[in-house]
Amino acid sequence: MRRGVAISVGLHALVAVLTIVAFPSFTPELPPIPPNIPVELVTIGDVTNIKKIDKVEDQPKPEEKPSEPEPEPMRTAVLPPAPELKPAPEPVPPPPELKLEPEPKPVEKKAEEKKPEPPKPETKPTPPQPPKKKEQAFDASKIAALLNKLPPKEKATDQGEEKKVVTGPQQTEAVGEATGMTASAKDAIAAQMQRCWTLPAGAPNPQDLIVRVRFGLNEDGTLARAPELTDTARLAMGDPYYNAAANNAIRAIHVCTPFKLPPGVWNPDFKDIEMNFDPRAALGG
Amino acid sequence: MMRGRSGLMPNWVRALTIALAAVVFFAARPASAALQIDINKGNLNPMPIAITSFLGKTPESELAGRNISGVIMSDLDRSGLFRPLDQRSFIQQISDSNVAPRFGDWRIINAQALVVGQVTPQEDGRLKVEFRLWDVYGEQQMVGQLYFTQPDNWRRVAHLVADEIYERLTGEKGYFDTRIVYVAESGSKLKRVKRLAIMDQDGANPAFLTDGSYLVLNPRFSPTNQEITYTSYESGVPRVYLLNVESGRREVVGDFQGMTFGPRFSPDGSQIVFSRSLNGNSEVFTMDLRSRRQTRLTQDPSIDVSPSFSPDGARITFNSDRGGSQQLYVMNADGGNVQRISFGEGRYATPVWSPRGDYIAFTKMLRGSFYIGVMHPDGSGERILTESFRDEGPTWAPNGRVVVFFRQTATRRDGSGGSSRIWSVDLTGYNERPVITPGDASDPAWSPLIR
Repeated sequence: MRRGVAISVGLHALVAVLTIVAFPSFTPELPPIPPNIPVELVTIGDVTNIKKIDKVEDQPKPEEKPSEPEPEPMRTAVLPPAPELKPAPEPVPPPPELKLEPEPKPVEKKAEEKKPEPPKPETKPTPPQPPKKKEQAFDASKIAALLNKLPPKEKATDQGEEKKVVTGPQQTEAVGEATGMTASAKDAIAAQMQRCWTLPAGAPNPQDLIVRVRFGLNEDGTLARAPELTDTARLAMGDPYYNAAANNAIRAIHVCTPFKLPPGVWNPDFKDIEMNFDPRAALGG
Repeated sequence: MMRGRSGLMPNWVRALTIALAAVVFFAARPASAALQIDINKGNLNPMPIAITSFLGKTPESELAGRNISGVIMSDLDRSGLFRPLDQRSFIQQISDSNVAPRFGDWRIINAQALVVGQVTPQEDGRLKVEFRLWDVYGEQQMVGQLYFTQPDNWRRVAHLVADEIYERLTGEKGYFDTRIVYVAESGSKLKRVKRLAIMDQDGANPAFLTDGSYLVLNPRFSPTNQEITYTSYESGVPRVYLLNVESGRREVVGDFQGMTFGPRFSPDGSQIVFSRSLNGNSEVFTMDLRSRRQTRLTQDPSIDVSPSFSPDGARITFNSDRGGSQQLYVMNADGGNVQRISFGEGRYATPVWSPRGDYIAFTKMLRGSFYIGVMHPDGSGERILTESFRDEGPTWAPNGRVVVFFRQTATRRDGSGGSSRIWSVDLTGYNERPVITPGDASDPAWSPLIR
């Protein structure tokens, strides 16, 4: 009997406590749900995820704000700053001429982590010029958009889908989904390849210009197996664009050889690589 | 029927079929699983190419060889797709163009392709020009050709070689062996002299085709031969003429009542399409050049101008304000199935169908600026290639890869400025360059390949 009472009291107390602890708020004033923060346990994964660093152009773009539901600083909060992954030989000099511009800077994302890779010539900030003459930064993933030379403000108002085109000079190229910092040997090869491969820009029908090349790499990054087309039958069909694209892809592999492989990542799989050169995404095909 | 038969199928047959299907399925996969790497980004850097001076055994042929490789270098450089390397960086000095080069020497200087050649005078006074294009990394010859030519024709041979190299490396037909006709302008703003002029696509060999005593407008090249149409005020009223550039033969296409604008050839060169204004209403017409019969294509109270044929001759793009503002339209070659294709902000004018068929180039006017742009014939994929105070009159290179247009600068209060020049830009919007003309120039039109 006493035990029964004790159990009953205990259970009631538990329920009461749970009511407070587990179901605390039926009140209407829920805290605003913060923007989705992709919280993942970031380890050195299989897929490279290097965040692209944008420096926002100093143009007032109020209409841009709503289109960016994820404020950049949120990511910085989640992810530790980069330095230990990418030791910076020298910080990228902030482009002073951007500051000299008279226009206000409502959106300033400088607070982000800096991950200077060796800056490529085309990503260097251009000298001060009339704003409309400003060179658009080279971002290989957005070539189709970059080819459009309408000044950013026209673009923004012209076609909604092109808003994302407005980018500032970039300090690094993005590789992967840009949500974390990882690197794999496979992607190290891919990243080098992207620098060697010249896109068949301007050729018609990029969807027909996907080229597969098979080759192999030694541990020192040299060729273990000469590159050859997987799909030789197409070569015989005599499409000059495809033939040029195929030659171009093979040449790109040669140009990139020897590949610089991070120490200790080579494995026998690299003796047989099939590389899939696909210009569709970059050329908007 | 099928169901009945499969119902009759004994179990072991079915099992066998499934097993077979499984075998086929797995066999269809790659024999050995290679490590797959996707490359979906790249660069747009021009390809480094080494072009050696063509060899010659006599002083004249050596000079011709040097000149020829100079023109090849400038052609390829201007295309924006190649970066000819400085000859002083070459390690191997080619002494015989018929011997395979030491590829390693060329890889060191990052040349991806190598051009060697030689010029040999023939007994009949002509020159034999031969060249080889080597793949430096693949270590094989990509193309080799030889040409015979009169010595004073070396420039064309150089363009032909450049075309060959361009085609082999890009997959696209070259466009260097071509000419551009344009309206040369001189004199003061009030007494402007406009003459028909022609030059090689690189600006060499400029020549005037008319003497400037009367106004000429709208020169257009035939896509099939070296003929141009243009509008001339020679007799006081505007008339459309047909002029053969090579023979100099000229004829009147026709006297038209009312104003006639912007004649353009059909792709087979047998018709012209133009707009004609009657009582203030412009309509699109075609005319058969042999029978001289005219056909009216548009029936609309609005202004329909600047028609241009698609390369298959099946459709025509033109410019109309029937929707309230100047926009681009596409219709069938018989005038049916009119569809508006431009929907962006601003006004659109002078549509020109690419010889490749995949784009229509146009002039766009928006907020006081002029743009040259391209869009697909269905109106998708609009891209702006250039922008300035005033860019106008796009015309395509015969391979549909490069657009030339003319650019006017603003006239300042003191009367300076206001010049007009021809510029070229790649289809990608990169590589915007002026084409050097002796004086002011407007309204360019690109020829087909000369051969």
